Amino acid sequence: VTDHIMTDHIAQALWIGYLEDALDPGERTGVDRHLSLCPECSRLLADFEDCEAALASEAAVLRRELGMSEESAVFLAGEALSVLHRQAAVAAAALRRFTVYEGVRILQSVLDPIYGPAIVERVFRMAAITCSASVADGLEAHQWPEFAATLDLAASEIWGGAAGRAVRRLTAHLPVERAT
Amino acid sequence: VIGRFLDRPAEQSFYDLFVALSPKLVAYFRRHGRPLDQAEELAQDVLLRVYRQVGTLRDRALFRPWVYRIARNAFLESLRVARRDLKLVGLDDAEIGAACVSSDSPLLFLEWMKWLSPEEREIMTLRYVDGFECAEIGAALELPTGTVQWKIFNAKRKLAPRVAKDARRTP
Repeated sequence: VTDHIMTDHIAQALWIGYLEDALDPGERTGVDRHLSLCPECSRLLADFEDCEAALASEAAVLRRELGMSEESAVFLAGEALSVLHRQAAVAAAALRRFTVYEGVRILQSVLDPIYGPAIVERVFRMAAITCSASVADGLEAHQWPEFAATLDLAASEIWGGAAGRAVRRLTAHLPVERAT
Repeated sequence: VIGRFLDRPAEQSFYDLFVALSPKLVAYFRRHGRPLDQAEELAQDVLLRVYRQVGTLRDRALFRPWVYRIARNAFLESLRVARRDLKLVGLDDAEIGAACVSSDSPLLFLEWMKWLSPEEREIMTLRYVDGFECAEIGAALELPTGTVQWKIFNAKRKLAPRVAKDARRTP
């Protein structure tokens, strides 16, 4: 189609600029002048314009053929929002802190299999008494730091230093709600 | 819609963006041979990634190319998963341009694209079907804008005789 463009007629770089409407006014005028005088280049321009129009028209057909109805788009958008809500709920749950009650139960569930529920229960009661509370009645959030520290000391005394350190690490990393 | 979303990425603006862009994304995945249900799933996945990652977009003028790259990666990822299931390897980017759509009537655009290289197909599809500017195509495919213009021009040179022939056939 265009083997001769580069030599005798409009150069390819000029064609690209012309078709993309990226030439400066002087260059564009020069190309227009050449087109008015050169039947070959003007035929080539017509070919390009026909090709452009056909591509645009057939691309529109393809878009219609593959398109999705607005109802489907709205439905999918609703589904996507549900996904976002679910993810937000999971993230919020991950950030939630345990209540003091839950914290006590978690510690018990870790220590019971190692030292036995009876002695663990007794140690927990002692630690609660130290901070003027009762495990049975439940601890207040503000009592948790003192309870945890007492439990750590009691574990060290009764089961040894390793147990005390383990309890200290457990209570330090357990995300339990604190009094505000 | 895009501007509102970029100004304030929240649920309502995301919803509007989703309704506007999902048909285009579904069409993109269907052009690449994905059945409608998978295309919808992939489109939803892409737009959720857009929502989560919009904070990483540096130049809002390049939003469309950025979304396109996410879609392209999602498509390649889905191909890799499919290939892994089949124990096949050797996927390369050339496959991105391979369009495969079943239709009752011949889709001339897709027929014409068969005359082009995979890269040319991708560029021409972005240009004519997705309405991207040359600079956006360049950003999406990491090519200089001039190269994109050059490739479009050459693709048209290849297609012009074919298009003219089909036009003569069409009553």
